[in-house]
Amino acid sequence: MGLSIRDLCFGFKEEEVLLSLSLSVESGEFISVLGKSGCGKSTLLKVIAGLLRPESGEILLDGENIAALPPEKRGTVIVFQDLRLFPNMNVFENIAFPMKLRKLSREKIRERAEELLSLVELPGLGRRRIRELSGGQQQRVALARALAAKPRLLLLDEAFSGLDETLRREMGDFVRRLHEKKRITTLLITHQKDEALRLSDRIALMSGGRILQYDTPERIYHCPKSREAASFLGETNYFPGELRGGSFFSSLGEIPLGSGEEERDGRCELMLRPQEIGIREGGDSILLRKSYEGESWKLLLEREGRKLRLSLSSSEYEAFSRSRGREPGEGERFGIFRREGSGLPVLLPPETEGEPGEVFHGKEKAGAGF
Amino acid sequence: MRKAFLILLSLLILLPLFSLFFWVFTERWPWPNILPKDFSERALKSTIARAGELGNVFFTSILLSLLASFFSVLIAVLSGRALAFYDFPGKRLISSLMLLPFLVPSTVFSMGAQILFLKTALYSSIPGVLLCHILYSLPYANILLNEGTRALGEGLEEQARVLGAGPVRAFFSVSLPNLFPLLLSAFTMAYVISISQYFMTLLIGGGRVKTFSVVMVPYLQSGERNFAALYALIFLLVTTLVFFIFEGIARACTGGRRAELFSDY
Amino acid sequence: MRKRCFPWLLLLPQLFFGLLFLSGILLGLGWSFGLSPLRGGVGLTLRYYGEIFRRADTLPSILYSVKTSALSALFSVLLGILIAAFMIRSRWDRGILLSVIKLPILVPHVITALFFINTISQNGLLARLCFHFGWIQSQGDFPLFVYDRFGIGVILAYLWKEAPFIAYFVLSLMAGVSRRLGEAAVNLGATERRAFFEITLPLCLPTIFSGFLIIFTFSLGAYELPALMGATVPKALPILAYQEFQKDLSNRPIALSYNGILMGLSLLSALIYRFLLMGGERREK
Repeated sequence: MGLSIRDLCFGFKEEEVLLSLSLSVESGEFISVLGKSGCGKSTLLKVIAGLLRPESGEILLDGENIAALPPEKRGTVIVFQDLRLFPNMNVFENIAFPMKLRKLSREKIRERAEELLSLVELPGLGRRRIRELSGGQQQRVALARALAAKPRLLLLDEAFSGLDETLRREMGDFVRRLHEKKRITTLLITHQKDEALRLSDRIALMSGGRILQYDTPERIYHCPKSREAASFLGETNYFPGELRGGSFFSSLGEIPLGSGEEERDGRCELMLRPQEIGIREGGDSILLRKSYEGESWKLLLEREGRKLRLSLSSSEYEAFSRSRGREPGEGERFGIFRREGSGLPVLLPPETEGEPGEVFHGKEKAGAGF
Repeated sequence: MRKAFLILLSLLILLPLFSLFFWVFTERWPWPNILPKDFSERALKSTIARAGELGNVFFTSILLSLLASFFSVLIAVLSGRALAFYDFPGKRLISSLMLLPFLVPSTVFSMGAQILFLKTALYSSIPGVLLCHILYSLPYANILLNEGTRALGEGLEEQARVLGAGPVRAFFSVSLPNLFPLLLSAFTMAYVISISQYFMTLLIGGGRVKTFSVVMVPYLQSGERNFAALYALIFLLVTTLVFFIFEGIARACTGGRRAELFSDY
Repeated sequence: MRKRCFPWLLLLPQLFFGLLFLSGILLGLGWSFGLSPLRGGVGLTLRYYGEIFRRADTLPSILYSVKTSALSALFSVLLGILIAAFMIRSRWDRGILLSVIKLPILVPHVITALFFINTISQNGLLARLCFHFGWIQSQGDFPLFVYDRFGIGVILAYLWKEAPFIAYFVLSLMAGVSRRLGEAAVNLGATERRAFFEITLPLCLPTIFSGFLIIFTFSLGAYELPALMGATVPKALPILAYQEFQKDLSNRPIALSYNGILMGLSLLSALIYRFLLMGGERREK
C-alpha cells in the first residue's frame, strides 16, 4: 500500500510547479526527494499534506484517496524546516497538542509524552520553554511532536537545514534509527546528496517539477539515467569515444562492455565519477588546481579541451607524491586512467544542444558487484 | 544630558496631572496668589451627592468604549487575515478604504452621519454612537493588526493543521495567543480613541447619550474649575484602572497558559 | 471554490463600516453641493461655497486652522522623534518612562485644555509666578497664550498630546532599525549621530510621514481644543461649521460646505504625502 501519487499537477501564479508528477512509496519505506532549491520539493510536500490543492492528479495513502480530505484528517504530518514549535507553549504542551486533538485522556497524554521525550533522548525537559532549547533539542521536540500525531506518513521538509554539519549528520542518523524502530512511511526532502544517499531506502531525483529517476541509492549513483540525474549525486566526467563490437574505444584505451549492446555502435561518451579516475606520471592532462579536503584531495585537470575532476584519497595522494619525490604541482602534466573495479561503464550519446541524452549501459546487472 | 531631557519631559507630563488634585478643592483662587485662597470640599460633596447619576455616565462611557474597542479589534483581526493571507481583486482599494477615516476628521463625518441617522432609530441612541465610535477606532486597530498578522504568518497554523487541528482550532490554539500582545495594544488604542470622543458623541447622541467627555465640557466652559478638575480626575483614575486590569489579564494569559484556556475548543 | 470567496466573508464587517463611512461623507458632501436628501433641494450648485467665500471670516479661519494644525503637527513630529531617539539611546525605551510617555495619549483633549488654561493663561500658574518674581505688574502684562489670534496655546496643547503619540508610534520601528542597521553602520565606522541621521531616520521616514498626516488631519478637523482655548476671532474651521450647523436646517448646506473645505484640505495633504512617498520610492530606484 503506502503512498501512491499519480500525475500530480500544481501551478502557482501562472507558473507550473508540479508537472504531472508520479511517485509511489512502499509502506514503511524511507525515501528521499533530492533536488535543487526551487524544483518544487516543498510544494510537493504541501500538496501531499493538503495545505495546497493540486489542479489534477491522484493521491492515495494505504489505498485511500486522501486528495479530498482536509489536512487535519489525512494523517500526513510535516516537520518543517523552521520547525514551527509553538512559542506560546512549553515542550510538553507542544508534544501534547496533537494528542489533545485526538481526545486522549490526560494520563495517557502524559504517559505518551514522557515516552516520546525519552525516545528523542530529551527526558525530563517537558517544562522547558521553546526558546530555552538549543537547535538540536528543538529539532528533536519537533520530531517528538510529529510522532505524537501518530502519522501514517511522515514528511520532513529539509528538516536539518539550520544545523551545523555534525548535528546534521546526527539528526539524520537519529531519524533513520527512529524509522527502523517505528517503521513509519517517511519522505525526506533534501538538497544534500550525502544525506539522501546515506539515509534512504530509495531516492527520487526531482527537477523542474518532475521526477527524473527513482531508485536505490547505489543504482542511482552508478546507473544514472541521464546527465542531469548524474549531476545530482556528484561530479561527473565525460570521455568521448566510440562503441564498436562490444567495446568502448577512447583515449583511455579499450573498455570491454560485456554482451548485449552491439546495436548501439557509434559515437558516445563514457561517464566516470571523480573517484573512478586515477592519476600517473607523464601524459597530456594539465593540473589546473588542487584542493585539500581532509580525507581527500580534489584535482582539477584539463585534457583535450575538457575539464576533469578527480578525487584521490589522502593516502593515495601521499603515495603518489612520495613515488615522484614531490607533490603534484599546478601546471605539470599527468596521465589519467580508468581505475579497476569502477563498476559497469555508463555510456551516453554524445552531448548535443538541448538533448540531455538518455544513458544506456553495458548490460545492467542489478546489484552485481558494485 | 539626554536623560535630563527625558526627566524634564516626564515632569512636564506628570505635573499637570498632579495639579488636578489641587484644583478639586479650590474654591477661590484669586489673582495673584500662587496657592489657592479658599479651599473647600464643595465640589467633592456635590459630586458625591450625585454619585448615582455619575455612576450611570461612567458605566455608559466605559461600556460603550469597551464595546467599541472589542468590535474594532475583532473586525481588524478578520480583515487583517483577509489582507495578509489571500489574494483577490480590489485588495489595494480595500486597503486604502480602511485607512480613509484617518484622512477625514471626525467632525466632518459626524455632521454627515447625523443626516444619515436622523430619521432612523440609530440617531440619539447608544447603538448609533457605538457604530460611529467603532468606525473611528477601526483604522488604528487595522494598522496594528494588519502588520502583525502578516508578520506572524500562516506557518504555525499550517503546522497545527497537519498535526490534526481543524482551521478554527488552529487559529485559536496557535495564532491568537501569539497575536495577543498586539491585540492588547490595538484594544488600548481603540479604547483611548473612543473614550476621548466628544464632538461625535454629542452630535450623533443628540445630547441623550451621556459620556464622560460630554458631561465634562460644560464644567470646563463655565468657571467651575473645581468641578471640571474633579470630573477629569475621576475620569483619569477610572481609565488608568481599566488599563491596569487589561494589562493584568494580558500578563496572566501570555504566561504561556493561554494554550490551556483555548484548548477546550 | 471556498478559497475564493472566503476573504470576502472575512471582510464583510470591514466593508460594512467602509460603506457607512462613505455614505456619511458623501451625503454631507453632496448636500454642500446642493444635492439635498430633503425635499426642495436645489440641484447641483456651488452657491453655498460661494456664500462662504464671500464671508470675511472664512479665509482667516482657513489660514488659522491650517497654520495651527501644520505647526502643531510639525513640532510634535520633531519633538516626538527627539523623544524616541533619546529613549532608544538611553535604553529607556521600556519600563516606567514608556508608561509616563504614554500618559498624555490617554488624556482626552478636553482635559488637556483644562491643564493648559490653568497653566499658561493670563490668569494661570505661570503668570502668577511671573508676578511673584516681579517680572510683570499685572495680568495683562503676561503674554496672551490662550484665546489669542495666533493659536499659540492651541499649538502647545496639541504638542503635549501629540509629541508623545508620535514618539510611541515610531518607537518600536525606530528601535528595531537602530538596533540592526544602526549597529551595522557604527560597525562600519559611522558615529552614532551619523548612523541615526543617515540610516535610522530615513528608514523611519515613511512611518513618520504617516504619523504627521494622522495628527495633522486630526487637529485640522478637531473641535474641542479650538473651542475651549481659541480666540473669538479667528475661529477654527470646525467651529464655524458647527455654529452654522446649530442654526436652522436651511443653513445646513453652509455648515457642510465648511466641512467640504476641511475634507479638501485633508485630501490635498494626503495627495502631497503620496507624492512625497512616491518620489522617495522613485529616488530609491
